[in-house]
Amino acid sequence: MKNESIANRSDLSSQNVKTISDFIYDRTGILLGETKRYLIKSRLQNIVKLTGAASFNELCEKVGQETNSQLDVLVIDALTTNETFWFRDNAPFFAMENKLLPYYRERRFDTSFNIWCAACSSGQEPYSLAMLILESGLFNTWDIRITATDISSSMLKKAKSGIFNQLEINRGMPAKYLIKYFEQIDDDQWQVKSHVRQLIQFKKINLHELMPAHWVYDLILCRNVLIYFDLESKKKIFNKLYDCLADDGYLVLGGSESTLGVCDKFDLESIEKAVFYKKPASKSSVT
Amino acid sequence: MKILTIDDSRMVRHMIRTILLEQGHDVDEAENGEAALEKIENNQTFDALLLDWEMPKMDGITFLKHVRTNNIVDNSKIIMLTSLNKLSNIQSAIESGADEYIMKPFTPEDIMVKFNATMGIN
Repeated sequence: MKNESIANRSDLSSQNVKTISDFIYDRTGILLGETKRYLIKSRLQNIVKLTGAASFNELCEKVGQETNSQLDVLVIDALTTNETFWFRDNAPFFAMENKLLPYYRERRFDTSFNIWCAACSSGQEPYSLAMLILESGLFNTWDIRITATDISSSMLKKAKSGIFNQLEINRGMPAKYLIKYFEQIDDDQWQVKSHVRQLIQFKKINLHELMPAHWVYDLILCRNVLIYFDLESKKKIFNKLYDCLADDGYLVLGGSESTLGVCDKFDLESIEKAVFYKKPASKSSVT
Repeated sequence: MKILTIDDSRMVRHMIRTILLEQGHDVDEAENGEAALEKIENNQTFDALLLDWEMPKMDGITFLKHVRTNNIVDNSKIIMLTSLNKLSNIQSAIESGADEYIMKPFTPEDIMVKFNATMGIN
């Protein structure tokens, strides 16, 4: 009897993989499905424990049944968050440091620089960018505004705190930046200094929904998130990102992502070893 | 690239060797600063040294200061790999000439991400 109950608890039926996948797609546009069974199981494991559900299947059957339920929030949160690195993939950061930041410094007619980090997860990307900008020394008298958004409330809360443990710090934070831009809180915890945190505003945004109409950004980073969306959703999101981008502004995607075959509005530019997607307005370019 | 892992822990040396060999690098080992210095004085050259701090005979920070002060391995990147995790340790290592600092415990990805960034590998 005991063995049977353990087996039931750890089982997840194909029907319920579909139920959860449909629910997540409907609410966020993110595509899961049978190929993501392992991810679904591993991410929902804590929620099964937390809610005292008898099994994955019992949990899945309750999802999406009530409006704004706590369970739905937990499930969306668990299935839409990803671990991130500091300065993830070196190439776009090298290119930004060497070419793109000087480009913006030269081209802007006023002294504001607006950046949007879409799907910022626990904040490593916007903080990396903020440190890169400060380190460049190009915008010392400028008004730098980085808007960092994510669908997950818990990730945003963590990101906003700017507190990271040693394991998280180890994941790509260069020592010279650690010394300069962090304070050590205790043996295991580090916090981003307040002058860096002040450059970033964190907001909850679902890329699947409408963006605020007034959003215009010089630079948008939307990296390693569109891989979770289907073609139709990608098209819609690329169009939204395009609309939010200033003329001559650049979009940065993850290394395995591209607008090719999905949205033809952007001009592709190879800058050093990275690819950037430009909203064309004039003939000027970085290269 | 040719890498020297300097650590008194056989397990750590084995891990570093395994991680870097998988990436196609050539990895040599030394169990403390003194043994590493011997290899360097015997005209062995390395693109990078992964250096523990706390070791018998010659510790990592003594080795680091010695080689940087005497311009012995000017063309080598030095990455500290140590369980000492205080900000003051990191500052001291960087000021003494380390190019990067990784705190133990580490994952293979931590090593690869910082190693690649330090060596300019995309």
